[in-house]
Amino acid sequence: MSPANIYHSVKLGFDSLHWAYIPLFIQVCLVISVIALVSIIIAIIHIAMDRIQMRLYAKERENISKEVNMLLMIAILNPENGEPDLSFDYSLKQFNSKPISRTVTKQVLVEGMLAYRNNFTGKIAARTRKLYLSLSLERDAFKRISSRFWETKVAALLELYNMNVPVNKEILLRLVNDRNKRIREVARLSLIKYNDSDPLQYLRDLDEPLSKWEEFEIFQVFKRKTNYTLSEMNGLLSLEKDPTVVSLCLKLAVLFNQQSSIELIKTLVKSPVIKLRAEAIETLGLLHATKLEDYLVSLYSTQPHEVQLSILVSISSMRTGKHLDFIENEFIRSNNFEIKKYASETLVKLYPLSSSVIDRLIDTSKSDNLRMLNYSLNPLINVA
Amino acid sequence: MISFFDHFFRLYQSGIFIYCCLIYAIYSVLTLLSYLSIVAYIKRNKIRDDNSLIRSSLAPGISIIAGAFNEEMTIIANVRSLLTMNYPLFELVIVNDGSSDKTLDILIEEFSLAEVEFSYNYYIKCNTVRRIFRSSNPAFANIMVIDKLNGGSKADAINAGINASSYPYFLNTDVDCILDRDTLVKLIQPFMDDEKRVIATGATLRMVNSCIIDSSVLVEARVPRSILPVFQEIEYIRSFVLGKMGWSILNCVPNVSGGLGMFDKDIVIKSGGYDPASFGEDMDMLMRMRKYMCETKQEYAIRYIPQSLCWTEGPSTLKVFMRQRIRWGRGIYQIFSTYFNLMLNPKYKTLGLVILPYNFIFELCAPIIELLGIVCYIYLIASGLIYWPYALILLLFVYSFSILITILALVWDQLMVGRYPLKEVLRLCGWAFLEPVLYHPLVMVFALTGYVKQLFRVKSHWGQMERKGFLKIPQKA
Repeated sequence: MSPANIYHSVKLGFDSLHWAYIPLFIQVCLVISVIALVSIIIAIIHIAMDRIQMRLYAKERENISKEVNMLLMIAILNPENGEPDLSFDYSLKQFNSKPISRTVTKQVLVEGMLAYRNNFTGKIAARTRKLYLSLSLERDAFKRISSRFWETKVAALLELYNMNVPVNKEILLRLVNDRNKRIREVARLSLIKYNDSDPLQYLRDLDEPLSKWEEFEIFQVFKRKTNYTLSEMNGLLSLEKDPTVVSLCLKLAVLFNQQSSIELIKTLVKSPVIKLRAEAIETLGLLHATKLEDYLVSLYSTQPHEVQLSILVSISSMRTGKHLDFIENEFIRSNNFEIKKYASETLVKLYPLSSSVIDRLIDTSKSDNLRMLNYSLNPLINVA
Repeated sequence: MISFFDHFFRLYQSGIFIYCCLIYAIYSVLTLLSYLSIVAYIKRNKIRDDNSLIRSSLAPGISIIAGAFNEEMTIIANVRSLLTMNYPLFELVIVNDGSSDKTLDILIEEFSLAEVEFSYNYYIKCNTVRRIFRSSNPAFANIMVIDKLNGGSKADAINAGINASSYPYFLNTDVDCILDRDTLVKLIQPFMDDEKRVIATGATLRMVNSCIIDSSVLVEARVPRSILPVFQEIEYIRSFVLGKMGWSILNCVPNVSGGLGMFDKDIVIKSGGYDPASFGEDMDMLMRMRKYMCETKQEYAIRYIPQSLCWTEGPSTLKVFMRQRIRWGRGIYQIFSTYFNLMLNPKYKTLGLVILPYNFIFELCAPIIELLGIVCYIYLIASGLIYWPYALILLLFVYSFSILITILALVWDQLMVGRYPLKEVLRLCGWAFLEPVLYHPLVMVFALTGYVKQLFRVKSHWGQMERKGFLKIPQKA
């Protein structure tokens, strides 16, 4: 078949083509091809238009940002006044002469203020908040809480949260039962933040697992509370509660050095969740629950591997030096690499109480054990 | 006899057409799902403040593990760039995989490394570890260098790194990859945020070939100027932004790239780590991780994020490209010869019912079916049985739909922060029209070559990636 023949046969074929006589699948392919080609053109135009729009928008924002940042700097960082300098006309009218929307200006203003709140504490943060309230910017945020879009609601709640503007408790209690997980998270965070009398009640009422991220956020909130005493964790440090909630409460117990929770934590040592059991035992160590050291050592032989490791870690935290023989025994006799490693690290952490044991082991240990001891003693190596 | 062949080819044509329609239907669904996935990610990202994690004392530690083989030219810059990660708790484990040049000596001198008596345990099998180094300079306290005998593959090096790492998560990357400063913070998010236990995450890889780099930090992103890397860039965008983001929402991601992936160390060790004998070691390990989670009846997820976090040098010569694709072809063939028994097994849930069947039919078999389709086409032309109008319409259908999928991938890519200037993006769109004609046939041929080599067990080795190096910022006189 020569190219000329092919050309003729193609031309003949297309000339004799009638839509009605084309098989259905060819018709469908033709239609799809046309749609595809048109879509390609639209998509490329869309990319170009979108980028041009974005560039224009970015330029507008840059211009507004310069002015807004200057104003904020003067108002908030002004060293002469203790209060934000309200002699400047902060009315948004001054931006109306430019072809930009008030929404964009407000957005840039709020973002600037949030940056100050997130990066400064003390007077500067307080001044920023006062300026925010003076300009009534919180009204917009309160309106957006009623938005039907979850991301708008969450952004509004976070804005008020970061500006330390309390939201009505009833609104938050309603949002804490919302269908959307993110809304529930932020509402719960706000409730915990603004309730100083019993923030833990919102964890007591919780019947779903906490994500690790939420754990960070809640932990930060508690960390920042000033003049706060953690209330009793009855009902929280319990086998009935979700392990993620219990895990967070264990960390809070350590943060606030809540000695009264030791007995509650002891009950968690019987948890069927191995990870939680291990964490509870480590928490007892961090709380220096030395009275329970003998109890933990007595449990050791019946526990799974992960829990055994946590018992060794706990002993090293308690620093009593009572069970050096036990640790030495584990180091020498265990065939498990991790048990030996943790035992040797425990001995090193108990120095100088364990100095005689370490010296003896260095003198008597052979290759692998000696290597492990030297590994644990080496300050260049991070001890887990 | 002639009539039999005619009937056979007509039947085969119909089969190919149905196959093609199925692939396009799946890609259409993936296109929609990837859009939803990207939009969901953007919304989630807006409300998650990375600083919460960076400032938190509860942030989990991450080990960055990178293998190095004969990298004396760039190792210092690469290591320094990895040390700039914006994360509160991480260590850098460099595995010197039996380099014959001065890689190790340079590292020792630059970072004040001293040999330490390290109690090393072979949780995962790897070739002998000779020495381990830590830095005596507190500024580099989080660097560890492992000197080991060459294990013949990157997989062996990474296994050695995993054995020595301290933290519960590790990032697998190549030492010469340029990583975004926020790589760790972004990749750890799914582990912290998902309702299921996330065992691996990945992100989009891009070509660094014509980008401007300064001290291993990306200064300006540019579309590659050479023809092969440009096509690879398009392929990566389609594969990561469209394919993997679509699969991620269904929790059916088949593979987390070896160039950039974060993993749950505990699950990796329990699954046996990377297999040095595998040509597709990243996909192979993920299969074993999935298999392990199914067999132990644990809920899990593998997630992808649509951000470009890693920039890697792609092969710019045909020889190196061919070697890479043959290896990938061998890899995928090997995967199916190892895991074929899991296919359609409901015990393995999405692995057995979706991932393996899809990859078998539409990834492994695709080059074979394409080749037979081309042979069929040639036969029909040669025997005069072809009806040109319909043939050309079908060709147009296949071509236009392929381009549409690629262009949509580029549109979705713009939803994230647009790294490339508009002109560069339009260049990519232009090259997309030539990809099915110039690039795709090469991919098909090299994949088939890989299958044949694997079938006949032809010996092969990883080979050395020829590096052209990065474009630097021009120095002012």
